[in-house]
Amino acid sequence: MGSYFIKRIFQTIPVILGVITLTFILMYIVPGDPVMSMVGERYDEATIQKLREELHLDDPIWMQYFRFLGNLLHGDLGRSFVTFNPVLDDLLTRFPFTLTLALSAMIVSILIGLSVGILSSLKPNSLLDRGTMMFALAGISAPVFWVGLLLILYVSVYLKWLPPTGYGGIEYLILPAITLGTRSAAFLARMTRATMLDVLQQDYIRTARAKGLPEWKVILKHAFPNTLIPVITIIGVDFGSYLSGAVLTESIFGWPGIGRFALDAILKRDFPVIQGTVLFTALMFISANLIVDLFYGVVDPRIRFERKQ
Amino acid sequence: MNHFLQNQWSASLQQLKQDKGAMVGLSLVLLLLFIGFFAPWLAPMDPYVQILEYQKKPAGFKGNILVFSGNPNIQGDNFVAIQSFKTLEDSIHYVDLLDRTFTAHIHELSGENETDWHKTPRFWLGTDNFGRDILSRIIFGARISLKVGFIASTISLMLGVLLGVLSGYYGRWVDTLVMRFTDIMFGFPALLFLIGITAAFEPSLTVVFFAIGFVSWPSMARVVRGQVLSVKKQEYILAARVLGLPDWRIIVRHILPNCLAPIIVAYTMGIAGAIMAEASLSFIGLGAQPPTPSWGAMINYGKDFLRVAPWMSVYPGLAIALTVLGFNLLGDGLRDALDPKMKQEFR
Repeated sequence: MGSYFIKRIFQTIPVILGVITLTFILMYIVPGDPVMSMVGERYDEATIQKLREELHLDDPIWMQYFRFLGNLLHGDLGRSFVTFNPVLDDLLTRFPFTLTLALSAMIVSILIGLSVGILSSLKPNSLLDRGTMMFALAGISAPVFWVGLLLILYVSVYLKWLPPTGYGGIEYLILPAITLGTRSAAFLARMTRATMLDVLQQDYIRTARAKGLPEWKVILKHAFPNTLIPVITIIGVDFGSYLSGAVLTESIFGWPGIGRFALDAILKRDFPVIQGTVLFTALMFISANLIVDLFYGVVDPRIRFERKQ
Repeated sequence: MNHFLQNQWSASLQQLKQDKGAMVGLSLVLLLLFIGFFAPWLAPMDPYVQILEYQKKPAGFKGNILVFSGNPNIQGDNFVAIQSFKTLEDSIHYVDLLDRTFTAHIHELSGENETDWHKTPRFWLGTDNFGRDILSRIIFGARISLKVGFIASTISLMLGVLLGVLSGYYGRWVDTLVMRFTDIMFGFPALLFLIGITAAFEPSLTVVFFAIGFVSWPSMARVVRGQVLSVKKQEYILAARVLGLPDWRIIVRHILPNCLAPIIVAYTMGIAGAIMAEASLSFIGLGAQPPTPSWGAMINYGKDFLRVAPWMSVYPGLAIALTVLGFNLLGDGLRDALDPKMKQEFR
């Protein structure tokens, strides 16, 4: 068991190195001079030369790469061209917002997704089942930014129940959390239903019913725990991508998280911030996936065994 | 292709025909193809024509316009919104929306007859902030979504199949190299990665095609590799090798035809993903540029007028949702019909 965990953790090291390298290369080959985006409209040759030297932009690429790696090891992601703040500081200030939104979206997704999935699996092909599954498919197909705008339109503009954008109390969190959680909830509902239908056919469910257990106990204690693997996959992967910044949702609702930070940086061509954010979010994403994988090993011994082979 | 394979395909086709969801999906996709193909004949208006007097008019608004022939070298016809008009011999008197009366010579008007220069178009889905017909823009927008969907998925298909086959067939270091690279690609959050790539270049649809294709091939490569690995072990491949057939021939004639089912499913799902990705990029302003009628871009322009003209964003969003729904339903149906085992693998 221990060896599976260690092996799996070590497997991510080359991936992380690869992500760092690819990010570096992408930033290197980007058309446009980063110094020009720093100095803006008014500049003179001397300033440009000084900046190039300060940033070591005239060094050979491999030297720049190793300096980049060295700085990363010191937790140095460089400074923003626009605000001159250290990128890591800015990321860490915004991370709590992203985390709050991600957790809330997950709660929405789990509450809706699981209950809808279980309910519709109990009476397959009934009107309720067909209706909810159609709704789930619509949830997957609707663009998240459009869902967000529709919610603002009906809940904030017409009904005036919640503020449309901004941040502060919980009233600001509800709409973004629903927007972000909808798609995940829809996936979760479909996956839960499909897995439940599978599990409900099993012999041990028949046995549980035969020995006279009440139906709710059969469902919740015997059937549901066996659907956990695919359910955890979806929750884990989605949570990982939310942690890496829900760009669209955050920008629609003016939520000051990492996604909006990244988008602002991209639109302003603030290269150190783009590079830092992409790296930071990729690490978040990889860690979340790693945790999901490790979790499989805990809940399902078959996976440990299979992976060893 | 041998008889066994042919029989399997026709059995799958039978199953697909009985799948109501898949048929709804197929109908939506066919409808979209029809709309995209015949857009110039179906659209009631030119999607680029601005009638500035008719800004942000709600769905169902009926216009009353005179068409003046503009200088063909500079621009097309001019559209002027009016309240009423009278023709007197070879001149025309009309009252505009500000109650001003104008006179013009009949030759300044476009075409020969009154039906050519006087129109009362119905704006079924309303107009946008430039007074353009939203329905016509949505109809032309179908072309963009289809183009992105097919071109980006085809790029991803070619890269994914090529690398997946090499990886699965040759194994060893080729496999390690390709699979580690897909791991790295999967390490990036997809949308942010895509935004980063498109932002590095001048925003245009061509950049979007390639960026989406480049970001989405790894999942295709994984699907293909997995399938190649299982097909490779079959005895008929061994037989082909013993016969001394060259590798490319074994791959093209014997391995690829047996990998088609998951490739078709992944391709169909990929189209839905690419359409969604383009809409997201255009929504942020990194995809199609104005005045191109891309659905995502239309929602982007519309979001600033959400309170006064919600139809500007609501209808294009509905178009995206229905299109993606169509491809998803079709993909779901294809998956069930072609390979029930794959149910667990896709999301």
